[in-house]
Amino acid sequence: MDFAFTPEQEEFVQEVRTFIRERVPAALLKRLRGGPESGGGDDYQAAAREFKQLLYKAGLLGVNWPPEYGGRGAPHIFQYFLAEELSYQDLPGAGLTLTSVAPMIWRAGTEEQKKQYLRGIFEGEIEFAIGYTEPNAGSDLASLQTQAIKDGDDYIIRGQKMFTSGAHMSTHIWLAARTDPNAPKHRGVSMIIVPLNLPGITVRPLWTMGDGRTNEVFFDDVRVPRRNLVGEENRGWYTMSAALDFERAAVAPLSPLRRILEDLVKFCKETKHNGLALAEDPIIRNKLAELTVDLGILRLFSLRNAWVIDKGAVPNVEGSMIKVWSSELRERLLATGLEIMGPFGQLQPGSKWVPFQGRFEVGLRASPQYRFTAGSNEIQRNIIAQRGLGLPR
Amino acid sequence: MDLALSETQQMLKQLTRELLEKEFPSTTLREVEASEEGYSRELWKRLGELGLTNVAISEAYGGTGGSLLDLGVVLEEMGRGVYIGPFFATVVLGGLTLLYAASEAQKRDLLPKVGQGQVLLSLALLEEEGRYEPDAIHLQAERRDGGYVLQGTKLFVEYGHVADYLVCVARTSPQQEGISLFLVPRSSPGITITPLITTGGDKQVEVQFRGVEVPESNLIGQLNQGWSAVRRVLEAATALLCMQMAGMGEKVLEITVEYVKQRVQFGRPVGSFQAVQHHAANMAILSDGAKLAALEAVSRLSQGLPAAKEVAVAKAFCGRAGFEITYNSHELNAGVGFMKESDLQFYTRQMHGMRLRFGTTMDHLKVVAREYGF
Repeated sequence: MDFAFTPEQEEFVQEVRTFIRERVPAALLKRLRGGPESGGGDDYQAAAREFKQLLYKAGLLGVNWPPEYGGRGAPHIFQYFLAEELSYQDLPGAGLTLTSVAPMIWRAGTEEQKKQYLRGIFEGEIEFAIGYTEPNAGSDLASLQTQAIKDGDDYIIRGQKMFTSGAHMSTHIWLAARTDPNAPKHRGVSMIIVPLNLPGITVRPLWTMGDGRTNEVFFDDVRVPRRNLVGEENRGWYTMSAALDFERAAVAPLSPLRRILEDLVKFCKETKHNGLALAEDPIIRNKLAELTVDLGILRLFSLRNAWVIDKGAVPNVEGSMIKVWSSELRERLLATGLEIMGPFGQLQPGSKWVPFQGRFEVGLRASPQYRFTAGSNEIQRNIIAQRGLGLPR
Repeated sequence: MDLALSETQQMLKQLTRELLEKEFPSTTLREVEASEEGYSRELWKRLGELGLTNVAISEAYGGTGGSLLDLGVVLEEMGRGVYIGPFFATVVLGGLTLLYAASEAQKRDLLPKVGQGQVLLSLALLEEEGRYEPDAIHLQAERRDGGYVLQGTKLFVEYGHVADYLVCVARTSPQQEGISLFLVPRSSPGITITPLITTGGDKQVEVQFRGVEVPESNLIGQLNQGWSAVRRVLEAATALLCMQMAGMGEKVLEITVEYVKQRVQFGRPVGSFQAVQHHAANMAILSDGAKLAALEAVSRLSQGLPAAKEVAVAKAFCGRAGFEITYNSHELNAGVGFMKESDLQFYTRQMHGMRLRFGTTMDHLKVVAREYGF
């Protein structure tokens, strides 16, 4: 048993750090840090695309993918290290296109489709938004209503997707649509790739409490070739479910929280009230220690998850535990930090006197999404209980 | 990075589990709790015969030369099996103290006997202040006539009433860390033992030392140099206790899941209700976290790596997890699980003692703050 990384793994982490230090221009770093949450403007999208090109050129995009797609055939666990390092440095990672959609195309797509899409994904030219959720289909995703009606060599897509984050920055939608309205709900769903530039598609922005952007996407009889179906018709649910497990771990990495806690500890050590550092106040000290312990547990869950993936198995309960623990810890961490900052904790980015450029403030406002995205924490707990402990449905 | 147990560890785990399932059913536990001795002699004999008392003793002293993690998986199973008895005190507290601090002659004399299960040991450390710090040690060892005379009172001595030898942590100099360790036969004149009545039903005693004479040759290690060994033993003991707590928590979760699967109300198993499932899921998260934290702490110590952070994190978390798992198990197991005739109460009561031993969650959060440089 060994919780430490191998020399090869350590070397890779160093390679990523060197890349960030030496091959990413300072100006680009500046445009990227703070993320889409603190603005979400067109410039961030452009900057993210540029960054992805640099990652690709350095052989760091999709490291665990075969070389014929531009990956380096490294073990899956390297993807985890990369994601952690990038998020620690407040830089965009591979994103769901690479960590969730690409594996589905790889597993369920034809050779044609793999050729057509995977290289484009790797080179950063193809970006997918996930089209699952609808106004009436959230946790009960299988009840989705968007139709894909056969018409000659095409499907006609009719319906609406909701909270399609990233649709405004993507080239395609990875769409879950109902191809058989008469089948039981899990068995009539298909996965279809829909280019976003097709006539009949309308993307409308929705702004969150955390100043992030998501979208509604309307499909008004959109004509899509039937060869855009990925996998077997009506078998889409199963393709989707397998990917959700990987998605869970990707949505909740350790490092952003590690960064936040480090910033908070530094703040508490440097800020003095009556000559005494905040970190010396027993109550604050105790809170910081509790958060440190909880972060340590998240790290162990992350390592375990990476190890499961590395062994070639699919994590499910492991991913669910990470999702629940990290989303709830994130809120606690940010709320505690802001409480320690007192009245300054209510200042927004851009305000005079705002601590940490408002990262904590906007962070907390944005944090609720982590409790309901990628499977709400109630669903995750159901999964832990049912799949993990064998409790009956 | 590899989170799998070695083959040896899996074998030790299996061996311990089967032994306890056979030799320590809850009927035996009940008898043992009610008895004065507080342990099963038959089981102790078997532990010796199967080499489980020998696991972490070096081959030079007749042991199997296993690592702390090897011992850790045995303790994990002891937690699962709600074992009470002199194993921890003898093998961990006494055994590791000898391993870390005793002279060659002392080791060659005692460690083989420890390994064979032929001698019982305990550590007499805590006093009235109940703190694991050298400044809380007031029992005096005064130099006299080529030996030492011990005067003072020790508390919470695990299985001290049946130990052949007590490792007594005594003050030999007024300087803060002027601590020395002495091997004291329990039969020495001047020793008075009073049992304490604990939540966990495990036997811990008060030991009064009144003018207890100890020869020079019974000094373990160097004079006034004892605390560094104590610190090392405490670190290992804390990590190993976390393994025991993790094993116990995991079993409590299993018992709870079994119960809610078969308990039917409103025409369905209560385990199909979401609130019940969510309690169970929360327990599972805590149980897995506790186990991983304990494993990392023990694994690092096994590799000779610094582990102060990991041990503190593990004990702080296992304390919290242990409480929440056991007390939530009572909500889910309801009336039936709450009766003394049910076995569930053993886990809750034993876990309580473990939470308070070798530093509480609060104590270890302070260590975390210090080790992380706040």
